[in-house]
Amino acid sequence: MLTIQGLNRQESEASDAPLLMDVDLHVAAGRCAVISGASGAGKTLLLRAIADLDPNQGHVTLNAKNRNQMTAQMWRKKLCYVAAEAAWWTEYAKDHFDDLTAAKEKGLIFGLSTSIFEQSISRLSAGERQRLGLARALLIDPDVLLLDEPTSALDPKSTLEIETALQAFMEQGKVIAMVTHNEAQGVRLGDDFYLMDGGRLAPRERPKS
Amino acid sequence: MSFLTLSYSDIAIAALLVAVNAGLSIALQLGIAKRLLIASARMVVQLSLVGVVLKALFSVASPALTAFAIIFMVLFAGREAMARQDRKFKGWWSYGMGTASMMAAGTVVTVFALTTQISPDPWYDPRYAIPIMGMILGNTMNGVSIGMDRMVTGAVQGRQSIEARLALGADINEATRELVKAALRAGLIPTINGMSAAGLVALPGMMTGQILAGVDPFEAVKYQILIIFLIAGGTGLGLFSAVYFARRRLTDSRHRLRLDRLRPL
Repeated sequence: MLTIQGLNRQESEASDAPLLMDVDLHVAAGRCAVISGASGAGKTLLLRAIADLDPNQGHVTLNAKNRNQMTAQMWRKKLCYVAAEAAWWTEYAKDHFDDLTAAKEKGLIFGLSTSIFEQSISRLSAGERQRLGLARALLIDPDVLLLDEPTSALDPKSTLEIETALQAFMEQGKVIAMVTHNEAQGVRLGDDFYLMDGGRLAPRERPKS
Repeated sequence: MSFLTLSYSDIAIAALLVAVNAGLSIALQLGIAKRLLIASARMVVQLSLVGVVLKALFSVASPALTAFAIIFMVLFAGREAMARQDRKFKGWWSYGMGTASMMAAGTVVTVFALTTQISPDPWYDPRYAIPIMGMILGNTMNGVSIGMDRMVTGAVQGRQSIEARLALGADINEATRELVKAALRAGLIPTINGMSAAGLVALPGMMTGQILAGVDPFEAVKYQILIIFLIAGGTGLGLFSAVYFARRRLTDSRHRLRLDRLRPL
């Protein structure tokens, strides 16, 4: 279970301007929290703060274990943040994976051919890069996926493949917190629904499908 | 040892060449004649002042005054190194990190050279200490400014890929390893290039000066080699220190990239 109480984030060390204000969020095992809201409302900042990628204050626990009791590296392996646009640090796709065999197997689930891994990242389509980014996150076997627009660059078929993989992830008792503008996708995957507005998070009713 | 002294009229004749450049600039409407003349005038005033100060310092040979002159040089080098960076840290961090690195590297290498190789009496003799520190500082300043600039701009430009690695559980050392290597390489390359080309493309300034002053060319070469080694050592030490300082300030104990510590553009 992911529990967040009183999460706050300021603009910088020198500025008290609040970007996230007293955010509370509870996501039980096997469930998906869907966060929606206008652009600039603070949705991505919230996911980044949960992953501890930006300085923030608040009580954040996973399965009753406080994040301060873990190293940042351990915490992020358990709660993996996946940006809307995956980033890369070397030229070839294969060089981003420690276990290439496992990566190719995971890629197949997402409809990626094994030859993709031999290619330069710059030659891949936006959709291929997005699926590869998700496969990379799942390979570290996190307990929580923090997904920012996970299928924004995908066609309907690929979107369905990703959603099926995410359902399988939750069936293992794992947790997803997902930011999406795609309300239909939110309804398909989501259990709990929230609206982010001006740095504040509030529960909302399940949208009508 | 003998050398031909220069009269003021000799210098004035050489200055005619700058006047010719200025004339060409005006004729071709380059718009730099004024800057050229101001820079020339500044150079003459600055070097004349340095001559007066050095003459005074050499005559008293006081350790306190020598130390004061060196601190003054380091503070200016720090300011210059900071001015060459596109992205600076908030507050005094850019100035402080660059200055501290140059101070430490320059002092260690200069004291090492004075106490073990050159061995003047006293060891802090300003006739040796100040020119050697000056040459080391000038080059270390280049390395430090290039390295820090590369480190900071690289972190800004590579933010997404660094954070992608952090998000996957990498520690900050892994996530910034390539960036640190690139910054160190960039800072050291001018020194390596300088050593490779020494004597082939141009005779180094210090050696040329000694030869003009009547020193045996082979003695001048030995001094120049020593100085180049000292410069390489000082640049390396200052650069390593500045780049690792910069990385420390760009990150925090929770292995986060802290670009919020940079001044906005």
